[in-house]
Amino acid sequence: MKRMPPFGLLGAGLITLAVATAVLAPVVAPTTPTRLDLRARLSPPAWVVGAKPGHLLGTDNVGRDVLSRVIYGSRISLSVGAAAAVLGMLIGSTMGLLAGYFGQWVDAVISWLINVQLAFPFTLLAIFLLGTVGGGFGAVVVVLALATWVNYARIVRGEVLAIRSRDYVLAARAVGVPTGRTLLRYILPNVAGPIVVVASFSTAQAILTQAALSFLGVGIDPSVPSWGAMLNEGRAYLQSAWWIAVFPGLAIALTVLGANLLGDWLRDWLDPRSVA
Amino acid sequence: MTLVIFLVRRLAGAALVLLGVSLATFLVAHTTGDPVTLLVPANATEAARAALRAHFGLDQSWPVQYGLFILHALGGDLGTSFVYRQPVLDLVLNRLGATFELAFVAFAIALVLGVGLGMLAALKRGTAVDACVTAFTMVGLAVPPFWLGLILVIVFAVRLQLFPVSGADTALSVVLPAVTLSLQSTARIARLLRSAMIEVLQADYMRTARAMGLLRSRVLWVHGFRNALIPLVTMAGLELGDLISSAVVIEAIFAWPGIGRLAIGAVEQRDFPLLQGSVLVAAVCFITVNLVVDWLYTRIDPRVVLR
Repeated sequence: MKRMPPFGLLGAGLITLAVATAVLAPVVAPTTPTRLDLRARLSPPAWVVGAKPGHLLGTDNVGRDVLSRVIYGSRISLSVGAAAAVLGMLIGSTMGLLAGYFGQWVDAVISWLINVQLAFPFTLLAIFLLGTVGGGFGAVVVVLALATWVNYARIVRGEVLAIRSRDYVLAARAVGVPTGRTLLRYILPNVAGPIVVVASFSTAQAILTQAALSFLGVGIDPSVPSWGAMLNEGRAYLQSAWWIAVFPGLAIALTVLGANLLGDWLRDWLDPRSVA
Repeated sequence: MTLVIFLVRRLAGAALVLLGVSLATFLVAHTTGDPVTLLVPANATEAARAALRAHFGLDQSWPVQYGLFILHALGGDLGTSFVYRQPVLDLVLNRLGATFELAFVAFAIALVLGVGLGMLAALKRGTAVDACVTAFTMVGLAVPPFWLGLILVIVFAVRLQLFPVSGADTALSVVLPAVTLSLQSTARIARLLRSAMIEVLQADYMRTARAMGLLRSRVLWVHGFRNALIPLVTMAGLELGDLISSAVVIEAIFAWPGIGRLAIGAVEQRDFPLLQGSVLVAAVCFITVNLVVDWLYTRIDPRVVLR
């Protein structure tokens, strides 16, 4: 096994930090994300002149502790991102396997679905669905999975096309291994690498998109602290109290950076030919 | 002749995709609620509601409604907006120019900056310059674009007053939204071009070209860059489509009068025909761009045959 390069290590470190924060939120947060400290409303971060004590990253317009909200907000971003990536993976990988293995009309139908999805302005679809069906965790995850499944389907389809006529696949079919078993035992393990790489990038994409949707005011219930909702709330105070929107934005950027770096490293590690 | 066959095949494919897009929009729109409840006052009589439904053709069965929509769409009629009471096609085409302006300026920035940075990083591989470009691309991909937009507004519009905060009233208005919109594309193009050029620079034909004593710049651009163009053009097509879709969020931040804002308004007011029309027009743009991309392949690489 090759040693992990510095960028890969940084990615793994950032993701570990984000996951640990989400899991240990009640332990590491200085207070609850919903506690109002009305005497310290719009208090700037501790290192800025005029800061009220007890709020390291300042407070928002109703006196809630920004640090605590950023810490608790990680739970929504990470769980939505991971759930959407997994659901997208299940749908997309299945589609890719079927299209690549069976070809012909199955491939034609699935490729058509992929092209329809790609031509669809996704942000509009998401706002539309969430605006009418209503938000909530499940709805947001499903909508984000609709955005990411094509990533998996395209990669898996291509990989399966390349390996479906390999000797070990032909041998399995020749001795009468059922199709389902051939797909799961002989083909799926050989496309697992690319799937994991796509999962990493798709998680990053899902976290960014979820934040954008919360920012536009659709999706997760805004009373639950989430990074996107914090950005939306902080927008009105950008000039007077920049810290409300800047810190959740940084949290999103660092988490997405971590997932992308991890994805890059996984891809290089799994593909010995890749440069850089 | 090959071009004709290619066009026929691709246009048939494009029509099928558009059919899928319109069907999906139609189904989502018609299964998620009744627009009439939003159009009439809460105390309207049932008779008034029914009359309105009949007026918009909403009293017919779904397959009939969808069939009529497609028939009319083929004749260039995308219906009438519930809210504006104007033809959808006019409304969308009025706004399309602004979205195109935004998307194309952003695309130009992404292309110039992305290609420049990617080339630079590949040529200076392993140096501090390369590391800086890589760091820039990683940060560019991680920063939420709408967040960057807010920060740009604070710094360049509010504090320094170099650009307008929002709207599209002056020639400078497009700068901030276009820069915001271009960031992710710039980063992706730079990354792609860097790895494509690194691969090209190691190729035998590049060594041959250098050994022949050709000018360094000629070797680089004619022999090198041209071979890195194919993946770039593929990606550029997808990026342009992505820019049109991402413009929705950016238009909302900067109050840019494009189809994104029109469509968000249509979603909020459940204006089905307007929403359907904007989505369809956006899809047509995406498909057209990708058709052009496929044709461009043959201009760049004579080995590519249109099918």
